Formats: sequence, C-alpha cells, structure tokens
Amino acid sequence: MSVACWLKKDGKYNINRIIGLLFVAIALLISLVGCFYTPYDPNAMNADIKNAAPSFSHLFGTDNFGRDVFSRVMKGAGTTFLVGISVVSIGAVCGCLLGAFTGYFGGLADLILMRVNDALAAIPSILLALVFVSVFGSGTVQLVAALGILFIPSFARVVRSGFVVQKELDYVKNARLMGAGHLRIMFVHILPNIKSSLLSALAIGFNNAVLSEAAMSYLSLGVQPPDASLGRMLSEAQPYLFRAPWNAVAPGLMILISVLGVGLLSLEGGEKHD
Amino acid sequence: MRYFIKKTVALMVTLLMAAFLTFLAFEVIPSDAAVANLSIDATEEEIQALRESMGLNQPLLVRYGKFLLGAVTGEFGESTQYGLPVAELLSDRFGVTVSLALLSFVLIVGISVPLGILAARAKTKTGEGIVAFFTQTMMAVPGFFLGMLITLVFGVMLRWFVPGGYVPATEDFFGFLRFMIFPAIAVAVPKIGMSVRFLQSSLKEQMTSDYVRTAKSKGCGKRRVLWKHVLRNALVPVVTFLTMVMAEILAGSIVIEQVFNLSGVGRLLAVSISSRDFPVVRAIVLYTTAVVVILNYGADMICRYLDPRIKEL
Amino acid sequence: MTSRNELLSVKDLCVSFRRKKKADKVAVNRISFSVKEGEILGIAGESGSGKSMTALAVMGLLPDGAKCSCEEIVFDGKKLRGNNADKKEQKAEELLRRQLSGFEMAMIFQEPLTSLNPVLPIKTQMEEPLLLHTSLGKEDRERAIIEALTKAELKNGEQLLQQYPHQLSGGMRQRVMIAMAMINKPRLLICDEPTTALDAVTEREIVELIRRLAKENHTSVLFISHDLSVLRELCDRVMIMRDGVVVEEGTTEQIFEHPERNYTKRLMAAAVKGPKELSEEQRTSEAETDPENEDGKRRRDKVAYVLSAEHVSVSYRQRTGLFQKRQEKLAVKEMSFDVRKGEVFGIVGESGCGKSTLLKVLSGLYSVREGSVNVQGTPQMVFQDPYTSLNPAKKVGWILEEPLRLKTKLSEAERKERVARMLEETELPEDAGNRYVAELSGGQRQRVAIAAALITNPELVLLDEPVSALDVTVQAQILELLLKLQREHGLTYVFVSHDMAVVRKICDRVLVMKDGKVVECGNTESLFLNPKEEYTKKLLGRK
Repeated sequence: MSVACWLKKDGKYNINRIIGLLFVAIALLISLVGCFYTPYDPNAMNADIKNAAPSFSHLFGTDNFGRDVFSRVMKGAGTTFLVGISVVSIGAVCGCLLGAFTGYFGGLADLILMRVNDALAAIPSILLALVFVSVFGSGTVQLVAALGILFIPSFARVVRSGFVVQKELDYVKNARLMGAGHLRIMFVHILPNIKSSLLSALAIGFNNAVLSEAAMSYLSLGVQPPDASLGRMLSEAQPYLFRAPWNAVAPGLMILISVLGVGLLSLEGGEKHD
Repeated sequence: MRYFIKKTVALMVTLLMAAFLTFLAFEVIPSDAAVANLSIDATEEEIQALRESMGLNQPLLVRYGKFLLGAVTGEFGESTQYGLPVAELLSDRFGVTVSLALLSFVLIVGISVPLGILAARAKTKTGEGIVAFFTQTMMAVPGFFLGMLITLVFGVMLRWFVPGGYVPATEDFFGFLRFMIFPAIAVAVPKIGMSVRFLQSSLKEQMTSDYVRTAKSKGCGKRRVLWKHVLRNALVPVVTFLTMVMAEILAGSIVIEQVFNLSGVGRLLAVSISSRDFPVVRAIVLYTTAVVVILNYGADMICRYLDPRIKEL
Repeated sequence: MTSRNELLSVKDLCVSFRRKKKADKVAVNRISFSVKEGEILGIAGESGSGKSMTALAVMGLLPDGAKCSCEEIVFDGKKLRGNNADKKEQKAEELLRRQLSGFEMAMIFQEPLTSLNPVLPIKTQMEEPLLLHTSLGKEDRERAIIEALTKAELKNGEQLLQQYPHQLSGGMRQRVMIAMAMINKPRLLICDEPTTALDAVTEREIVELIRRLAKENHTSVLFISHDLSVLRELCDRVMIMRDGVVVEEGTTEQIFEHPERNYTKRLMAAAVKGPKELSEEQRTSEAETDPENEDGKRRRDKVAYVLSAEHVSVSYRQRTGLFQKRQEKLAVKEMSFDVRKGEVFGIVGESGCGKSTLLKVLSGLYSVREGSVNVQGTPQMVFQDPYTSLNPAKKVGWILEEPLRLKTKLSEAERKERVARMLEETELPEDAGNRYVAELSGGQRQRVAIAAALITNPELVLLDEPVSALDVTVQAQILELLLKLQREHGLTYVFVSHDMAVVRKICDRVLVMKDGKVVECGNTESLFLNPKEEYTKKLLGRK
C-alpha cells in the first residue's frame, strides 16, 4: 500500500495522519542522526557561553554549563526513545505470552493473575516505578527494568481480553477439529486476529514509556548525569527557567512532538487494514 | 447485600496484600535500613546495636504484624533524614496534596464533561479530526513541562503567583486558589485530554445503540435521549474511568509538586527516595495504595447502584 | 377493502450509504407503497434487500451516514417528509415526527434485549410515551401501563414494573416492547423482524399477539420479515423486495398462490419446498437401505455404523462468581442412537434443547460425563455462522490448506492442487483462495467452510445448523451442494437444525430432541407423516 493511499481516508487526505507522520519522521531523524553525529560534543562544557541564547552557531542556545542544547536534545531524544522501545518490548513480549496463555487456558492461574493484574492496574505506574527505583537504586537499567515489568499487565490485559473473545469463536473449534495443537491455535490462528488492538496498545505503551521516563528522569531517579535524556534536561533547565527558557522548551517540545506524532498515527490504526 | 460483603472482603484482602508487598519490598533492599542510616565507617557492633534498636532482628512475620499495627495507628517510626516521626511529616504535607488533587479533579470533571458531550455530537469528519488532534495534544504534553511553562509565563513573567507559596483554603480561599490553580491546571490538562476522548467514545457508542432508536421511536427529542437515556447508561464506565483518573492525579501530583515547589506528600516522596529515607517512602506508598484501593471500592459500590445488571452477579 | 383510506403513503423513497473509495451503496431505490387503515402489510426480502431501511426511513430512524430522499412520505394526510425541504421546513417536519412517534405511530425491533434501556426499570420506559404525548396523572399512567402489559399477555404486570429488561426472558421482553408500542393505541405499528430473535413457539405467540392487538385497536401494521411463513399467516398484503426495489406486490393470496415474478417463485420454492426434489433413483436406493422396511431386520446386520452413542450424558459446570459454588448442569441426558454409513441423520429441537452441545460431544470438543460415544475416524464440522467459523485474519487458501498441513504429509504443490480441486467442487470462484473471508458473501463463506471440512476426506461430517444463518435462496443452493457432495463422496452427515422443512428435505432419519433427551427417532417420512409424540406434533404444527 502506498504512503499517499494510507494518508487518505474516504478519498480525502487525513490531516491528522499527515501531521503525525511528519512529527514522527522529525523525531526519528533527529534521534537517529544524533546517534552518529551531533554539531557539538553534547557533554563538552564551555564556561564562556553559559546560557547563550539561540543563534546560528547554537540553534537552541546553550545551557548553564555552556553545552549545546541542540546536540543534547539529539542525544537525549535517542536515549529517551531507546528507553521507550526497550520498555515496550519487554512489556509486549512478556505481556503477550502471559495474556495468551491465561486468556486461552483460563482456570486458576488466569484467576490469580487477573487479580494481581487488577491490583497493579489500579495503582499508578509511576508510583510503582518509584518504589522499584527506591528499592533497586536509580539508573537507566533499573528504570528500563522497572517500567518494563510495570508495562506487562497492560499488554497482558489487552491480549487476554482478545483471546477470551476469540477462543470462543467457531474458527478456533474448527482448528481444533482439524487437529491443530494449542500453541499453533494460539499464535498462528488467534494472534493475527488481535493485531490491531495490539498495535494500538504498542503505540499507547510507547507514549506512556516516554512520558514516564521523562517524569522519572526529571525527578533525578532515571537516567543519571552526565548522560542526556529529555526528562533529565528539563530538570536541569528548571533553575534557569527565566534566564534561559530555551533549555526547557527544546527538550519539552521534542517530547511533545514525538508523543503527539505517535498518538496521531495510532488514532485510526485499527481501520487501516481494510 | 451479598455483593457488599463480597466486595468488602475483597477490599480487606487487597489492602492486606498491598501492605504485605510494600512491607516486603523494603525488606529486600540490598543495604538495609540500619546500614543506610549510619556513616560508612560504622563498626559491625554499631550496626548490630542499631539493628536491634530498630527491631530488624525479629522474624519476618512479627515485623509484618508490627508494621500493620503501625499502619493502622499511624505509627511509622522516624524519618532517617529529618529525625521526625513519619506521621508528623505526613500530616504537615497532607493538606497540600489533597487540595491539589481535589482541585484538579474538579477542573477535570468540570471541563471534560461538557467538552466530551460536545465532542460526541461532532458528526463531521473535520469535527472529529479537530477533537482528536486537541485531545492527543493535551495527552502528549508532559505535565511537568506544562508546569514549567506555566511557571515561566504566569509566575516569572507575569508574576501572578509565587511558585512554592501555599495558603490553606480554610484561611484564605482566594489566596489558596491563586496559588493552587496553576499547579492544578498542570495536573489536569493531560487528564482532560484523556477524559474528553473517553467520554466522546463511550457516549458515541451509547448513541448508536438500539435503545436510543427505541427512545426516538417513542418521540423523545435529542435532549431527552441524551439526558434520560444515554448519559444514564454512560455513567457506569465513566465512574470507573474517573476513579482511574483520580489515581493518576495522585501520581501526577508527585511531579507537579516538584515543579511548583509545593511541599506536599509527592515532593516528600521524591526527596525521600533520593535520600533513601525508607520509613517515609514506605508510609507514603502504603497510604497512597490504600487510597487508590478504597477509591476503587467506592467506585464499585456506585456502579452497582447505577447498573441494575451488576446486582445479579 | 378498496374503500379503506390510505394511512401511510410513501413515494419514491431512496436510502443510500456513503462508502469508502466506492460509489454510494444504494439500500433502497425509489420505492413507493402505501398502507391502508387497519391493514397489515408485510415486506419480505432477503438480507440486504432494503426492507429494514424502508421501515427505519418511515420512522425517521435511519442511522448516521445514511442519505435519505423521497418525493414524500405522508401519514394520515400530514407530510412527514417532503422532497426539497429547506432548514425551516425540516425543523417543522422533525417536530411533527416527534409528536407522532410513540403516539400515532410506533415501532418494535428485532432485538428486544438491546432495544430496551438496560439501566431503567420497565415502568420508567413504558411511562415515556405517556409522559411525552398525554397529560395523564401519575396513577392513571401506572394504570395504563398495567393495562397495556395485561393486554400483551403479561400476567403479573405490577411485579414487572420495577424489573429490568435483563431479568425477563426473550419472549417477555418482546411483549414489553409491544405493550410499550401499543400503549397509546397508535394507528400504525411498524415491526422490524420482531420474531427473528425468538424460538419457534414464542414466535407463534408473538405473531398471534400482534394480530390480535392490531385488530382490537384498529391499528395498521407494517410487518417486515424474511420469514415467508410468518407473513403468509399474518398479512393482508405482501410486498417482496430485492436489492432495494419492489419485485412484486399483491394480496397475500396472490403472492403465495400465483406469484408472477421469477424471483418470487424462487423465493417461495426455496422457502416452502427446500432444495429440489430428490431424484427418483435416489429415493429407491434410500428405501432399500432403510432398515425400518419390512425386511429391515435382515439388513440391519449389514449396515455399517459410523457413529454410535450409548447412554450419553453431558454436563457443564457453571460458575456464577468467584465465591459461588460450581453448579452442574446436565445438557444432554442418557441419549442413545446410531448413525449409519452414508445416511443423513437429522437432529431437531428448539434452541436450548442441547443439540449443539450434543454435536460438540460427537466431534470430541466436549468430553462425555457418562456413557460412550464411538466415532469412526475424526469427524469434521460445519458451523452455523460462517462469519465466525472461518478465521478472518487469513486468506481462504490458507484456511483450506491448514487441515492438510496438519493431517497429511502432502507437499505444498500437492496441497495447492487439492485446494484448487476443492474450490471447484464447492463451486467457488478460482481466485477465491487469494481472498479474505470478509470479501466473500455469506453463501460463499459457507461453501468455504464446507470445503475446509471435506478437504481431508472425512467419513463423518457434522453440520450444525449450516443454513440457518443464510437467506432462503442461498439456503437452497447450499443444501443442494451438500447433497451433491454426499452422493459423490459417500459421506455421512449428522445434520442439526431447528427448521423442520429443511430437515424433511435433506434427512433420511430424524431424531427429535427436547431438554437433552430423545423424544422420538425414526425414518423422516414416517415421522413427519404420523408423529407419535405430542412434542413432535407441536414442532410440526408450523411448517
């Protein structure tokens, strides 16, 4: 399917989808390029140009240590997205397996896991992440582990509810009569049918992961200095908010653009298959 | 009645479980509370003595019992950082967090309900697109970034309020509003986006259901269909959703208190985690969890009243 | 009859839907009709014929996204909808419609459960038409509600007032809907497939009720149904619709006795007679293998059994909640029967009699609690609803290959070849293999389901209401296909159905089931000609 075709809906271009694609492309480009090249060393300090305003040489100005904000945003976006992707991968893979097995087989294990799931879902994930970090210490790895584990229930729930509905349908019974094994039924027959809800769960999960990472790093409990991450940069920018607002606005906008982009793209994710 | 008993038992079990998990989480901390409390060059004896005095050498279940007793009586030991009883620390900060949460909740409900109804009525593709764009934008703004922008514009540039200031509502209500409305907005905006979207989709779902067609066939006008039929049916999922939002507000205020320098429970939590002040962390986590669990219990009770079908379960 | 006044007249009604990438789908295409006072007009048609959209358009209840235009819709001399109304006129029309809806014209729908508001008690819902259109006081309203409920043959009306829809049975819900519609004694009642969701016995009672209430209140009825036998029983006049246009219209007698159009004839043939008569040759061959014949005893020994069930009981455990005890429910009680090789064995009964559960036991999906089931080979199954029995995420070719992948060691090329042959045998287009199930029609889907069941050459095929989700003309085609395949491959069918007409046409022997037990079992013709049990007679009461 061509991109232009996908951007259209009912024959008209869907503006939200175009904006979404544009934002995601910008965010991806900036963070990918940041992996290989940044205009300045993101951690190089220069006392001469503390809190310099945006200019041609420093697109988003410099921070309190004279570090180039644009370079740091490029690097920080990379870190933030990497955390987001890792978190979602952990959550999605474990959640899928857990949800598929509990939803398909049911029984006592399902009952217990659902209770635990309900209990965990009721409590805001950032609170749990805080507990995790306070127990295991703060740092990027701990953060990814904490958020990853905390994201399992939400994926498990989506997959489970899909499986609970699908397993009752006649095509599953048919597959069993044909002699398909349980694993084959679960992952070859049923899983493709919940693709769309899984995709939107992935998008929502990624956004939540990015926002959580930002919040945790903002509280100095996530990514540790001198590494740049978008949340970390916001936290460092706060004391100089009045003198150098660009320090805060640049990473803030970066978060906004990427989360909004993914959000807009996922809006009608379910419909694009037909 | 059976439903009530069942739910109450479930509530108790959940509370006990949450308490146990909280308790256990801080038992497995690599360096235990006693070590964290002393300077690095403390001798083995000193550590042992302190462990003894803190009761860390007793069996696990005994300590859990004590912990539970403490939780019920509000006795959580002393903060290692401030040297004050945890209960005292908390009661000082409790008011700020609760009033911030309530104010944000009022803002969210007050703004998103009318907007949600309006959004559900948007019939054209363009209208739907605009609603989707705005709700997504609101959801994409990190609350603390918004808080910083608000501080910058209204606090620093316009000087409408002093970040970190707070007056209890009982003393000076307008002064209170002046300080709290901005943090409350920062907490509320992402949740408003979420709520509008949720309301829109659940109202739309109700509006296309068969009973609405029946109501119209009886001669009900649009307004009557909305108020008497649709909203009544949409109420159950909305109540459940709002409970979740309330829990999210509590979580959101941890970060927002930091941004606005408000000395509330959330800020205390963040500070205590950084300084590994575990008695405080443990107490806050336990209380917040309890509040969330009890909120859910309340929501279940309301839903049962609102939806006759639940009674049959 | 000609002297009666026209109550409702519809001229040049069009309804269409906007579609993605394609031209608008026209659901109703310039149809005109009228309903006279006190008359019952039936609209018949298969799904997609536009009959429901016509009813909804008259009531002004079309779903969002439907475009509606017409020359005019006039009710009792008042214009409900005109041709080129401007904003102001539209508002006036809307107001008029609201004043008439629920007062002079009322409607009942197909699904009584979802059509009633789940969170309001019956009283509040029934009160609404009175509140909106009359000035009755509180007590008078309550009296009127109870009276309406009583007239709809709901006895303990007072008790019902505080109950909620989910506490009532399907039949009671539909009676409540009727009572609510008739509460203001409307002059026109529109019924949109009001009995489709109900079982056979309740259906009869509801139709009877509608007829009686209409007569008592001198109410005209516009009755939409796909079930021709219901229309024949109830209506004064019938209109046949297909693809949004009226095919034929006339008095019930004209339409049913002397249909003029080919489509009508086909529809009648499919509905009343089932598939084409079996050939003479087949009949004789059937008679020969029929052991109930004079020399049955001798032949019985020769007969090979494909399936035999002895004293089979099946229960399923129900758990109503986490803390409640499990309840055991017996769905099948002590059933014994045999199925012979090469026959079509019918199992009939109303919904809830346990026939679907029985079938699942025979297929091995459920386990038996008591007794034994002996089946030769692994039976394959064709389910009722081809929309759920085929995996929507896979292409037809993949679905058909799957049993071969699982059960045989054929190479991919061989599998592809088998699939192609099967598509041909089931009269599906050649390229069907590359399509998703969603791109096929209901009949085509059921063909795919049959192909998937037969592709591994099973001896026994279990058919669970295989045609009841299909339109009548399609039903006939599918039944024919099933018979053809049975003849060619020497298959044995177990055919579960609630439709006696279908069973009579296709089955060699029939087992009548009620509440999980065998009521009667025997040769189809003899069972239909002189049923021994009361229940069988009741089932046969409506053909």
